[in-house]
Amino acid sequence: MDKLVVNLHEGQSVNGRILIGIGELELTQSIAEAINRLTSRQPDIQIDLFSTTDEDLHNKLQSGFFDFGIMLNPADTQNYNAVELPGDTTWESSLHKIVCLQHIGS
Amino acid sequence: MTPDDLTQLPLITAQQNVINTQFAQWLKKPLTTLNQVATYNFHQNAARLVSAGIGYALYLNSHSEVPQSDLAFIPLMPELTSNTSLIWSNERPPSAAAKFLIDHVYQCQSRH
Repeated sequence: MDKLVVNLHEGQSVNGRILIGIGELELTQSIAEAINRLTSRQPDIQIDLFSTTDEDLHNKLQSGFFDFGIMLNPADTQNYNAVELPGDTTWESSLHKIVCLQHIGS
Repeated sequence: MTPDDLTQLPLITAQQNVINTQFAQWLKKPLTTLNQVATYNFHQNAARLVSAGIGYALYLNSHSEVPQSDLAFIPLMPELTSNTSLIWSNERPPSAAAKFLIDHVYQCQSRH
């Protein structure tokens, strides 16, 4: 990704909606923080989140309905630009553990 | 919960290929060797099935919180983890608003 393309001036005001499809995941802390920083600086931008299946997410990214998708790695870098969301110890909640869920009674 | 433990149990698995590919690597055998009783694509529904006693769900846990108080997580041994990416089309230029989000995601990355 060419950083020059995205390095806009802080003083510039932009409006519009950003549609983000999330593929069978819960929103991670890292992207929530980025959205918070964006909307606090650009109050005329609205974020719309859509939880959906991976297949629907790909279709709507290809058609242009979604601006972004959030998916598990490995990302499909043939068809998409991708930026890995932090998953180190500082960002514990963005680390996904695949676990087994068991019924223990009420 | 080891691969050997899991093969004994009725399982509710995700429909996500990415998870299932990782899971099969962890298992060291194809998923078809398991007793898969149901699949899901929405976490809360998997939790309901477990609650109803249908089986054990393989579940991607983002927040270390159980979705319902009558459920418990059993860690997989060895641990299985994954992380995520923000992706966007490389054929369509992002909108002005979308460029701001990309910028902020990079900023959040560089601060950590």
